[in-house]
Amino acid sequence: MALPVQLQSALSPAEAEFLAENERIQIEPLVRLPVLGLIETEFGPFVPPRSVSVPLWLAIVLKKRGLCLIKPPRWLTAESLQDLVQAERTQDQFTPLPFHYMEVAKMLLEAHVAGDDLPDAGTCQTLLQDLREARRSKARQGVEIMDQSHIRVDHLAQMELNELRPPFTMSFSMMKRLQAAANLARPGGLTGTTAVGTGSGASGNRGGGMPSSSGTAAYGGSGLSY
Amino acid sequence: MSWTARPLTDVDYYDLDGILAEQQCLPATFQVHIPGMGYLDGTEENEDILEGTKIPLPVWLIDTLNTDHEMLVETDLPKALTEAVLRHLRASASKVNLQALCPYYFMVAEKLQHMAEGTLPITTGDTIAQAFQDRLKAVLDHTQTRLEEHTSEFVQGLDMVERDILKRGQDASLQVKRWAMRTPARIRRAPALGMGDADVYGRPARGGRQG
Repeated sequence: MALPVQLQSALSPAEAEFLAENERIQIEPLVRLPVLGLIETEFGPFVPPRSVSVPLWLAIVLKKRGLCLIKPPRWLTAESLQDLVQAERTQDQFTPLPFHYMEVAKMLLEAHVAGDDLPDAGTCQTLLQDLREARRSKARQGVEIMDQSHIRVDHLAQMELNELRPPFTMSFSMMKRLQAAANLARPGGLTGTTAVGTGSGASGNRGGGMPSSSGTAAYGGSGLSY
Repeated sequence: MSWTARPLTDVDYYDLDGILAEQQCLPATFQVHIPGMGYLDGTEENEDILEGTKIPLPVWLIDTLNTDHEMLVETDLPKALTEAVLRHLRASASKVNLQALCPYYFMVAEKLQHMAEGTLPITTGDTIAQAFQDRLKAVLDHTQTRLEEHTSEFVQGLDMVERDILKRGQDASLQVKRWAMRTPARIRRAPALGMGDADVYGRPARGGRQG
């Protein structure tokens, strides 16, 4: 299928946001609602003030109609974000964050109304920016330790993974090809019996463009031909 | 230098970058007399190609002329793979201007190594692979910025593969930034009207008008 280049090896940010909308979140209904019978599952009944766990998309729909209050996740407060930024700046590794933290934070901050459930929305916004910057600069340093077949990075979030996928897959693909070509000069290289490298030239395997659901990213040299 | 053909796989056949890369010419000395093809040297004087004539031929042609059965041409290493260049790559890989040497440097190098079938010294392949990795750090660093092709010296030194990596990285970063600004969903004045709109990051245009 002829996909535009940006979509060939990664999701678009909008798609990533869509996937994140399935995350569960606690809401406090303001109005009594009956059971919502949807295709896959049902939600409800909603009895105020009992809080209930629903997917994020439903929470936002209800919130926009004034039917509920969203209880922000524990990490989305000014103090915990402050701690996270601190930890991010001091540690070498990435701090463990929810996989969809960027999308969830963005959607909650957008659905937020002044004086409502999210106490310090403005500070949260800036702290999130800081967090993103700290992680981005760490990702840049990670390139130094890349070796030719894989790099292991833990606790990368969905959006960050997506951003890194296109250049990284192409780089690894090329590195593999060059290494395979270099190995031809080694004894046994012509018959492909060397231990390094798994194929000759550019193999046509489409390594999956779909995201893994865990936060650990092992970028294999997937031979994604560009 | 002895060159023999390597079998083309289906994937490589249609690869546009590969086609352009193989267009690189190498000086080739014909080993046999070929009647009727004298026009290949660009002049009108000879009707045939005499044994021993030197004509620059593209890599894809050399590849097909040298089958397992007989070698029709002998070639030398191109300037891009000489020891001098390799030494320079070993010393400071990111300072070498690969675009000037050969725009498809890495792909041509890969192709030539395959054609040589192991007759090149080991250090050649290793140097090139290592050089790619060293330059990669600088390229990936720059994916966070917005370098223009014509104005930046750094980009002008990159070969086509590296430029592709850079462009993809830049596009991915830009996409995330736009998503964060909700740029697709916001209604803005079209840039063609008026004094210039807020740019994609939401900064106001010069003159102070908010989009």
